Amino acid sequence: MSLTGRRFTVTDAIGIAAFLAMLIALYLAIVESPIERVQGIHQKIFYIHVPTALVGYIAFGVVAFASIMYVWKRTDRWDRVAVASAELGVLFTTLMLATGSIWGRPVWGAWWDWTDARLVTSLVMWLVYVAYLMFRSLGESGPGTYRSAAVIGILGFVSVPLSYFSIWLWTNILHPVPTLQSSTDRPEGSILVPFLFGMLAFTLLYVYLMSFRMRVEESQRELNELRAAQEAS
Amino acid sequence: MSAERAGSSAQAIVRCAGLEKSYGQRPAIRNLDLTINVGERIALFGDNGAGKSTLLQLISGLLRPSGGGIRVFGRQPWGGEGARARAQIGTLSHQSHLYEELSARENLALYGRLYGVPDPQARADALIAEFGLTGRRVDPVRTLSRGMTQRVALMRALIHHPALLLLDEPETGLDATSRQILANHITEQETRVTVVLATHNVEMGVSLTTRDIVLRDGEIIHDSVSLGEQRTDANRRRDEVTRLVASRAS
Amino acid sequence: MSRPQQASPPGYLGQIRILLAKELTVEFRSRETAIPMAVFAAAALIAFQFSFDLRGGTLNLVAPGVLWVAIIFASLLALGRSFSREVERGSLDGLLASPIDPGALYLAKVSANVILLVVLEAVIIPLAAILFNLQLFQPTLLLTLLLGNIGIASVGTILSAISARARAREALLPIMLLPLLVPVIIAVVRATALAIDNGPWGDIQPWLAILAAYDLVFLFVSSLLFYVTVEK
Repeated sequence: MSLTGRRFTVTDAIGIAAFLAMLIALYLAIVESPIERVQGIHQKIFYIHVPTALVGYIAFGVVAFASIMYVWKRTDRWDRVAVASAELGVLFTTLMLATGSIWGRPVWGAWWDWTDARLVTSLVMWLVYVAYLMFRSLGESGPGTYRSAAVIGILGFVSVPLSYFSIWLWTNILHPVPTLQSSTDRPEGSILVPFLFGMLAFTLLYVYLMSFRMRVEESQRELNELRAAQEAS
Repeated sequence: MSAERAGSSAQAIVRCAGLEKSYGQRPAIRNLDLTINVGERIALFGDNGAGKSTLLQLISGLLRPSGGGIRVFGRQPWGGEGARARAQIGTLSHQSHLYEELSARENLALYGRLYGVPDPQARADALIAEFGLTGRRVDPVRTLSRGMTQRVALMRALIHHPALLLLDEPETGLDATSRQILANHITEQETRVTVVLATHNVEMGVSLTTRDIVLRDGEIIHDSVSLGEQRTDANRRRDEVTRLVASRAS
Repeated sequence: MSRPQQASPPGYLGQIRILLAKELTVEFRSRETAIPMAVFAAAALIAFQFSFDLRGGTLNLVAPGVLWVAIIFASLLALGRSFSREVERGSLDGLLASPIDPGALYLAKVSANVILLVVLEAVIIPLAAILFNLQLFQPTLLLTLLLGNIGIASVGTILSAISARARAREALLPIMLLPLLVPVIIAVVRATALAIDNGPWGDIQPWLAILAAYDLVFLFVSSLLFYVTVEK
């Protein structure tokens, strides 16, 4: 990947690994995995849906961790981790919500179902971090905005389990859980392997995009500094 | 920069070592070393944007440094840990810090309580009488003139008999009588209050203080203590400071 | 140093008490918040009446949601001003330079906002009871209101401090607040519905437990983190 003549980096290696894992995961999911008895071909979207969901959660967990570290250490780097991971978390959660909807259309007969506590919680969580990114985009780049963003990042993460529990209770009391979801068989070997490959592929993709996004953020901030210095002189 | 080291020499009230403060990308204080001893009265000179207000706000605990160390009364002045240090500091800034819905008396009593003054109401009334505002003491601050508001802001800074008084351009809006009262408070010998006074008024700064510091672009370019001329006459100090502040285009 | 009187600054609880008294005095003098909140909520109730036609069979299903949406939207008026007024007049810096713990300032503001919400509810709950012929005077409803108010104020107050210095703060506050308040919204609406229907205590209890957990978690985390938002 040394198109511009620069040195081959670890980031490049992760990028290639993510690409290969993605190809293998797609092959396994489309060709190798069996067609599920109840849901038929529609179930195959789960090989994308579930990994994007899990990586989305991991990404938001990283936002919370980086936010705590930023409050503690006040080093620019932790804030760059937080903003990069928040963007990717929103990206993966968007994919997860989209694939969930696409799956729901044939299986539930509707694009959206308010009785699925996990899906609804994800939507709420997605909104929390969209608000986080909106706050960042409206504030001027600098420690004041980073500090407040860190607080939002921590509060948002704290709210997720409370949201999940209240939504779960709400759906269970108002709308008894449909038997459809819980009736799926335990993943056999042939389902588990493509799923694990999907997980690996999306995790590698996350790590690759993270390092990429963080480099862009670093350059952006360097550029701002240079601009400020030029304006001052 | 440990609290022990600062506390070991009982004379030092403020110690800054390599102090840095920047707002975003713009540095306001650069690598500043400064020690202020008990009873010193310091005048802080410099152009707008030289860092006078920033330095005062760092000492008062309102700003958290971006780098380096600062100890006031042997403690970190900002945040929850800084409360003990801040309890001994009185501040007057460009803003009055007053609640315009409340009267002078209520504002002063509020801050008196926050600083733990034994009888805040009586102390407020005494200050109001001293600054000649008794007739307006129950009117909301909103209805007071600018000069009167500045007087109340000054009383707010003095309400708890601070050991360290930080004054940012106190001359703004003060009438001659109030200036005299302020001068009395600053130079009162028996209380030995330590004062840092940022001002553009060289005449007033020199007359009220014993040590001159000139800031430029966040750095100390002149400190009369370090030059060992603490007791030079007012005229020489005034000329020196005026020359340094004016020599901006260097 | 010889100083005329030895001052001893108040402790954490003393600071909260002094700052809360200040909040209430300022509000009592200006009446800039409580009255607009109540008038807004009353107007919202009337708007909801024409939107949902709150009569007959569906009333008990829709009324709790209507009531809480009105309360939460009205709370934005109080929360939006809570810190922006302090920043505008420069009084926040005066407080921060005084010997207080920032956490005490946060808790005093939360208490003031809870009291404003109680005042608001004291007006609109009887109004709703009269206008919609609802049986709103249930002891469990009082508990629900109190826990709900604390939940709204705990998150709303720290977000108020965060948005006070931001551009477009009027938009940012609700955008950040509503997703974080989802657990509160769900729990208060369910608990209120059950209280109106004279539901058994066992059914209401889980919702009150969620509210109590939410209040405790956010009061604790926010009072620890609050200093970060006001630092400069």
